[in-house]
Amino acid sequence: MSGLLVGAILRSPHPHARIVSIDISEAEALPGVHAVIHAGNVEQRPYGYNHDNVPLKGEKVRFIGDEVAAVAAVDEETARRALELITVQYEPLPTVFDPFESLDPSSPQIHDELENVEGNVAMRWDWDHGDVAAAEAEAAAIVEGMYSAPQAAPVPIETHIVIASFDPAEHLTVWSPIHMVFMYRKELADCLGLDWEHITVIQPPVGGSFGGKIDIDPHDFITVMLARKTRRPVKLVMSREEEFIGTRTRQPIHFKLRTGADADGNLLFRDAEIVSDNGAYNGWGSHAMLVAMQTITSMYRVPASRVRCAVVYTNKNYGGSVRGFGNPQATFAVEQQMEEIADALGLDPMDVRLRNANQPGDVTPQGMQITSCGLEECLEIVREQSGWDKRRGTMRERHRGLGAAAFVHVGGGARIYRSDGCGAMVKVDDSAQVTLITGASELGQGSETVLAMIVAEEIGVPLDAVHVINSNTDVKPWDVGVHASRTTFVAGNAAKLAATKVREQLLETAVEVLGAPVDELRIVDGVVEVSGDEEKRMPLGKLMRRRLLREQGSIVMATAFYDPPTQMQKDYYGNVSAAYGFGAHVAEVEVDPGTGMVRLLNLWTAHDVGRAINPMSAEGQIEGGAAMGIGLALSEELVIFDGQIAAPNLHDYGLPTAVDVPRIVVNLVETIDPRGPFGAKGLGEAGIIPPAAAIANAVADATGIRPRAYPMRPWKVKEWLDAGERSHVARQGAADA
Amino acid sequence: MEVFRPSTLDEALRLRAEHPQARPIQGGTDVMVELTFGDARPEALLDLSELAELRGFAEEDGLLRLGAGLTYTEAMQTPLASRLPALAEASRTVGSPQIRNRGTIGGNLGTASPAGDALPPLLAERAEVELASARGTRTMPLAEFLLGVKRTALAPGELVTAVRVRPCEGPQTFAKVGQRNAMVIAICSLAVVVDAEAGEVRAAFGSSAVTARCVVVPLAEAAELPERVVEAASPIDDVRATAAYRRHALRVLAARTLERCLRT
Ligand SMILES: Cc1cc2nc3c(=O)[nH]c(=O)nc-3n(C[C@H](O)[C@H](O)[C@H](O)COP(=O)(O)OP(=O)(O)OC[C@H]3O[C@@H](n4cnc5c(N)ncnc54)[C@H](O)[C@@H]3O)c2cc1C
Repeated sequence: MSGLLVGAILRSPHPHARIVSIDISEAEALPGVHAVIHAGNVEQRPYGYNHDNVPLKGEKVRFIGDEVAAVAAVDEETARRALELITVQYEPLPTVFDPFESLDPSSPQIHDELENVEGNVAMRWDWDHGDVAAAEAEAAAIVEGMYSAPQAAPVPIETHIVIASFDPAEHLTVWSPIHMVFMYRKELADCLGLDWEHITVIQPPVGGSFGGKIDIDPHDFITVMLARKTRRPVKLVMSREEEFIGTRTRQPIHFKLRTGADADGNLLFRDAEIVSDNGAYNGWGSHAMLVAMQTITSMYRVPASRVRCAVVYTNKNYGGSVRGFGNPQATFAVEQQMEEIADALGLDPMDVRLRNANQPGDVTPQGMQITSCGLEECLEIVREQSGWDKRRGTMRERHRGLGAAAFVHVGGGARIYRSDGCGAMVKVDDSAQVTLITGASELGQGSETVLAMIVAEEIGVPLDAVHVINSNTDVKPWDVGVHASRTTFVAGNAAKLAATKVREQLLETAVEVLGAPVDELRIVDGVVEVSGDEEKRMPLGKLMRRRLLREQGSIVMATAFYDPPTQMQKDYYGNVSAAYGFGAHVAEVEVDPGTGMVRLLNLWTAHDVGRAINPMSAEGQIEGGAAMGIGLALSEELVIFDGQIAAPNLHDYGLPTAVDVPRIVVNLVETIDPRGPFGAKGLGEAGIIPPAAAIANAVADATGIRPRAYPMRPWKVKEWLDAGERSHVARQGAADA
Repeated sequence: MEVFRPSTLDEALRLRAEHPQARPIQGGTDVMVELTFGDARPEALLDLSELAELRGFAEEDGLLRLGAGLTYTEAMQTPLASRLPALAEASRTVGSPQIRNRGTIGGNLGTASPAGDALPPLLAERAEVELASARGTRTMPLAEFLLGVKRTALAPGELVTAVRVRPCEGPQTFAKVGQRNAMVIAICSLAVVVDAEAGEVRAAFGSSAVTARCVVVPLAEAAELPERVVEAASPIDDVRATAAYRRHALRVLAARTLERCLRT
């Protein structure tokens, strides 16, 4: 790209401060610098949920890493030197990092400029269903406790990178790894005052996201502002350090949970008080409660539930929509209490799970309509494979234990926007080549292979005859984007619908050319066959040429738009997804009572995937997800001292390595969902959800202590061992009922 | 940046004297990280990786001479692994296979991190460091070579050429606590050597004071070792763990490694 400039961002070194002045004159004077921008010399509007964010901060900074100024220069070194020449005067303000302290009215107000924000509460999520008080009075056993999940990072191998370029006619093209390209275009336009019909977003192959590339971030806007100012294309690449401090993280959530059951183990209620640590702004992470709440109200049959959740601002990096989106956190609390309550009642936790398991046809209290549901089967499989019945509770002398956890997660899209749809176009021209142009995006999850398989199967052509094109908003039909494990289900259904129409068009021609009725025709492996007449076989390429290369010929092409039959939730009620995925894991650990080290020995998993269209990539997704879940459970945490991420590098950030991940047994349970393409349901996030909870339960089985937080690092486990941290049983047995 | 690539030790020592600003580099697993992060911007590098004199190890009259260029992978293999089992065990915990193939003992001494994993086993073996310059060669105990966090007694113009050890006959072992099983800087580490001839037990620990440190107790009072280790430690709270946990873990590691050694 000729004339490409390099962008770089000046970030706040203060967790909370007023910007007194900013002097860019020296930076501007540096040879090779083409633009220096800050809030005072650019056009920008607030963006984000409740408009609490702006790309370049003018009045105040709210966390270490907040964007204050940016430069575009001829090369990276010049850009970095220019940043050093910008002088910003700050007036430090009192800070608050702990979300519980932040709730205290006397705490520093992080968004004092927003009139609709009371205290530091960005939003509340309150839910009531059934009569919790009555259920409580009836309960034979009640367990209660705090469960905390830390701030973690998605850590894709490729960091964020954006290129923006205006052509002479003012048309903007942005190359970005963001996998919500159509929303991205709108947000760019709204914030920067651009015409969105003059924006093209191109998404090249993406080096991993894990949800970190769903949010539009300040650096996206900044790159466009730099290109606008310099009239040159500008590229901005995040360093690994910036990736940790300046892009979105997994938000910490603290659950104070109570679960009650009757003497037979029937669940009676769940009651949750939740504090979600938002960080400085509302990223998508502010909405992680959408999913966390589902797990509290709808994981197993729970007749009564209550949720009080405050999403609270703190002076820290803010949360995005990282894989699992609130569910590993919620499952850590909910599934520990499943084992705690079973133990309090003297029942087997697997029996209690099975007794309360969700069933096909259930409508949960939040209105989730469960179509296919393989939860029971998943539980039975991991119970059997782990030797649960013989081994749980018997290995404490050897410091070994077994623990289980199940999950529910959207598997048929998630209507968080007015449409949850995806478009598809399929065409065949004079060769037998089939092209699918999909609205969906590939981020390494293998969706293009699966979409090609769906189209190949539906039309009747070999897999390698199908080309998949995505990546350009000028070309591809509209799609919400990749999130919520929705691509196989939603984009797959759209592709399948378009492919069906294409097959019908091909058969129309075949009827004409081969002179056989349509019910005697089949397309197999790219060849049209006539039943009972071997002679009349015709390859699709030839058929296409017969259709096309004549007077008034025509191509074969069809479009489809699939929007799942779901509802926007109102007051947290509504069927957000057209299908739900279920699964169960059992972990086996050995705990070193001296050092507190937890070693994961085995992980058995069973996932209801509807249908495994591509079993190898389905297993890969589940294994990869489980490996991430193991990282959350045992080692991943952004350690923060006074608002500063202490070690923003891959050496200290505890990603699990090959030797930390044992063999993961994956069982694919096929329930053939009535709405999924060929019965498939989404599974992209699933694997990450249960490991932390299952491992915590295994640690409890091995030691008798009850983990209160993850990651379960050696020193923390040692603390619990020393303190004798136990399950808090508020009521046990039928004695005081 | 200029890179000198001497092919003999003499040439290296001459270049070292002529270009004091040139940074020695062996496997580069510490130096390259510093360059990448911009923590160091040396004007020149003095590449020692071609020097045959620094490679491998040799034994003469029971005295082992480990070349400064000895890699962890080499230290993990027989026959060296059976002569210095604690060093071999420590080497197995270093980084990843790639790092163990490149990283060297000399580099670990050069960096002198309190977390250097080669240091406790060598300290517990009372290793001596061989230092050479254009002026000649001298040796000093490793314990005196390590001055502080990333500070050593290396004089201007000097290079570490080898580590000399006379392995004692008794059992020895190494243990490390970290937040995961590989690619991990020790939360704390400890090597124990039972020296029957001298009638003493020595334990050296890492990541719990400004340098790796060694503690000695008479064999008859071996049971005191864990307590003595904890007394000698002065750990801090950091990203990886708390000081209190480090003290605790050192006590556990000392008791355990001691038991392992005395049982055999
Ligand atoms: C991913 C990763 C994981 C790691 N894991 C571990 C670990 O688990 N445990 C551990 O202890 N270390 C670890 N390290 C650090 C490093 O690998 C070791 O310290 C290693 O021993 C350094 O050896 P080297 O040959 O690569 O040193 P170099 O990087 O070449 O040099 C290191 C230092 O020593 C100096 N130096 C080198 N040779 C000489 C010499 N002959 N005379 C004088 N000075 C010299 C250099 O100038 C430099 O200051 C890790 C590093 C990385 C990148």
